[in-house]
Amino acid sequence: MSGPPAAPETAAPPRAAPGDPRPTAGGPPPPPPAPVLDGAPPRGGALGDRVFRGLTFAFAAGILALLATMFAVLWRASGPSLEAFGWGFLTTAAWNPVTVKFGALAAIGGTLISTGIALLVAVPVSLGIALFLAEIAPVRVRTPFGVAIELLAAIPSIVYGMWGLFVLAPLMSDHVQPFLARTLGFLPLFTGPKMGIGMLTAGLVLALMIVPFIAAVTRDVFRMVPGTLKESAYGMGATTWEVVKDIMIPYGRKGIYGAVFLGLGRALGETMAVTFVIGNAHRLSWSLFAPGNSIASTLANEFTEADGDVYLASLIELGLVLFVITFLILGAAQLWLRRMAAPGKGV
Amino acid sequence: MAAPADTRTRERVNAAVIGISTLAALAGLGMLVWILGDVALKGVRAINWDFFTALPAPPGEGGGGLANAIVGTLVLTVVAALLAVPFGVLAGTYLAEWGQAGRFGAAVRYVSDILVSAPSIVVGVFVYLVMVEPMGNFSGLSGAVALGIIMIPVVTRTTEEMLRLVPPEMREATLALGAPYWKMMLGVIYRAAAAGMLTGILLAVATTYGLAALMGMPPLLDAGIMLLAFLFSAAVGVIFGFFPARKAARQDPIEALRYE
Repeated sequence: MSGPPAAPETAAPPRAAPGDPRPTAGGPPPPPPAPVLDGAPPRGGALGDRVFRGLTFAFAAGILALLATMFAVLWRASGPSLEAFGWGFLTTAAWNPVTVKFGALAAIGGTLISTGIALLVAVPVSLGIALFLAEIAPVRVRTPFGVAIELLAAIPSIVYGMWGLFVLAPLMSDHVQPFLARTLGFLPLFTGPKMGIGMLTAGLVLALMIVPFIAAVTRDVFRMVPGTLKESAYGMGATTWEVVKDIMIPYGRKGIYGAVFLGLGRALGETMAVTFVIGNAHRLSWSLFAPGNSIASTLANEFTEADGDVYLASLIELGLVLFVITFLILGAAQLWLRRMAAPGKGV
Repeated sequence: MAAPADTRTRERVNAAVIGISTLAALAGLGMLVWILGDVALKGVRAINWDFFTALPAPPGEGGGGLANAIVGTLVLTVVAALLAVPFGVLAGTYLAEWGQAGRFGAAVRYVSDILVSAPSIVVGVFVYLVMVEPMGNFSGLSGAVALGIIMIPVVTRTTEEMLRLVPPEMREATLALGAPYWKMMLGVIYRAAAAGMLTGILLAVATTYGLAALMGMPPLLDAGIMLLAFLFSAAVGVIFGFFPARKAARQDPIEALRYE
């Protein structure tokens, strides 16, 4: 129950594991996993079969068409902005509805920085939680703990946003940010007004949102490590940490990366939670305390009140940029995971 | 691997890692209790009978409820599911049955995996452009279309996974009896995979509850709504995720075939 996006990832390993043909040494790359049904379904056949196949094909093609349409519509609608700013849209940080000067740099930067903070915090914490759930915790508390973590993933993002604004932000401005400024204040990252809301808080709320996802999937991956492998290592006198570091993580590497990319995708497009705590200021600053903006939060704040063609088109182009960023990052991740899966090592 | 460190160091490292990981888990649980406790404490006072049955009161007046928002969420979700489920199930069927090898199937699978993570706000902008702008006003239908688009890839991929889990023997048996392929799918394979597909569909529905905010409606916020939203999605997720799964786990496929 770690949320629907997890389904493909969590479902993937069980299919790979039992088949997992021993790769023939030095042979050609192993063939793609054999289809479940031996002997392909009939291509022609009775009229009913042809209609059925045609129908399913049409809807499968519909998914590709949906993607293409989304790109095309967003591209066309951002026409005025493309015309006015060209590629400069991506490299200027100005965002001024009054003088009609728009640039996406601040929003793009904010999106990437907040996502980066989120991953930096969330990945080690999730690994820790997954490790606890799979290896360390007494068997009796594993299930309730696991369900509790999955429940965190079920909280709608807007709740995280509200909570971040009303609970986390005051805490940040009163305690965490002064502490960071005292100890790490020599870095430009931790200077500036301690307002509570800003890039750092947004990153932390995002981290909190993606931790349950990553932790739940990673725990499932850890659980799929064959017992004999772990027992052999323990039998050789390895400590728990050594088993984790040298057996479980290498074995489940693909699954763990998949979980991280899932969290990454969620963090990139997250709207409401970020809008509440990022501060919504169109500038890019060295300080993580400073308020900033992400693409999604800009859209949420300004889309319904944009007046003027160029303003609206700029917002739409911002959406297009976010779509392209997500597509590139997740697309690359998918390809890379598939390449890693090919040599047939682990799940 | 590095040269073996001495035993005491190894044990210390081990203890440290176990400690850190336990702390991480406790912190995660603490966060959950904290968030839920906060929302519950602040929200529970706002919940009464009127909250579910009355319309919002004008600002400044006490009382009132959220009947319109609750009903709106339900209607929106049902319409979205009506749009997305046939689309997703048929596309998933193609992937499972004919898309195992070959470029087209791989491309569709690749694109739907990415669309699963497509930012919902971009989908919102897209639907604004193709529906709200031409029609001249915001509407429940465009909201439902946006939610439907978000649900499609989830339903597609779940359907594919579930269909592939159906044992090949069932297909062979049905085909051996002389059934055409489409009858085999409709009469046997879909039924065998029904429980799992239902779980996927309902999980897709549950995710969209939290997303209704993207439709550009001014968010009407107070802690009560947050609590309600959370309980709603949690309950849907738990009830509809758990029961079909339990049912599926307990069922013998052959029995399922015979009686369902």
